[in-house]
Amino acid sequence: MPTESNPTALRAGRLARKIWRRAAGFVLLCIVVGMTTCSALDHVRDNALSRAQAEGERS
Amino acid sequence: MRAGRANVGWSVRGFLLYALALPLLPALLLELDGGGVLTTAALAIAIALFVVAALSVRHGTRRQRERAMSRFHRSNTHSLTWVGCAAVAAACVITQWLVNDRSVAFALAFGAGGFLATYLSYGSMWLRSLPEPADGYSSDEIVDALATAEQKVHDLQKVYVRLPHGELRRRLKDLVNKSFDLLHTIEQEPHMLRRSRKYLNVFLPGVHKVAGTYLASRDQGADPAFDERFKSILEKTSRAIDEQTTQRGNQIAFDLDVQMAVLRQQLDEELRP
Repeated sequence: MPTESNPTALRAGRLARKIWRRAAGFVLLCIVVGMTTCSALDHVRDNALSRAQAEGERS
Repeated sequence: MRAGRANVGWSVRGFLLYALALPLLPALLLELDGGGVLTTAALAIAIALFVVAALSVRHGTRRQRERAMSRFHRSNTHSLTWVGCAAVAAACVITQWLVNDRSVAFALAFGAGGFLATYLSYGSMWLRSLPEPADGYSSDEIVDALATAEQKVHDLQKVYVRLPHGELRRRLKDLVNKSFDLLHTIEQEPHMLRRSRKYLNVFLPGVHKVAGTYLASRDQGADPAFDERFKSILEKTSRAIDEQTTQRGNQIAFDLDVQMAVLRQQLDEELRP
């Protein structure tokens, strides 16, 4: 039976596409947003350490 | 008219956005302790944007689940998708550009990535279209009217299930089936909504109310004379739906007659020697 006329195969195909799309979205979201927020924390922490170091040297 | 809220339970969808934004909180605290005003403001705005994105996604998911429980309820959640995607994109751009001191192009690339990622994760599930506006009713009004009526018909269904087998139960079941058929017809042909408004706005809510009170009084052993009166009401309501269906049939026949007459006239003119 061709795939076009098989409702089960059609449903399975739609489900597979949906899972693939969500998985790709999840991975991309973790990479993009995770990298952005973690590097922001890293950056801010470095700045805070530099400030503390400069203050220590001054005093 | 607004559809009754269905109990759709609790979902974790959208919490990922809260979790991914968590590192910004200690960053904000560190910046508050002697950091720059611009960076502090950028971090606060980015956190707010992530919260907006997560709330949009969660609200959209909830509406989606409510919609899935009803045949007719279709919330227009496209706008929520775009709000979530735009908020994540803006938060990424602001954080990369103003907090991480990256170039604008780099920040925009991350913004685009965030937009795409949010759309892929949460956007694809909300792409069911609304019915076309018809006869002065907007798509949302049609959907709301159908969803509200559907809820009432479901309630009537619950009443007939509790009734003992007999004439009354059969009539109520018949009315429920006819009501569902009418709602399906309106869904397919939204211009039917105006013609059916008396049934949807007056008769159905009336029967719904009477059925609820009847069931309560029946449980308390009310006068059996009410059975006959309720039966009569059901019969009349059923007849009202039949009239709607007959009117629709007449309208279809009239339209067909006009179309055939016009086509025949065109053919006659074309084939005239």
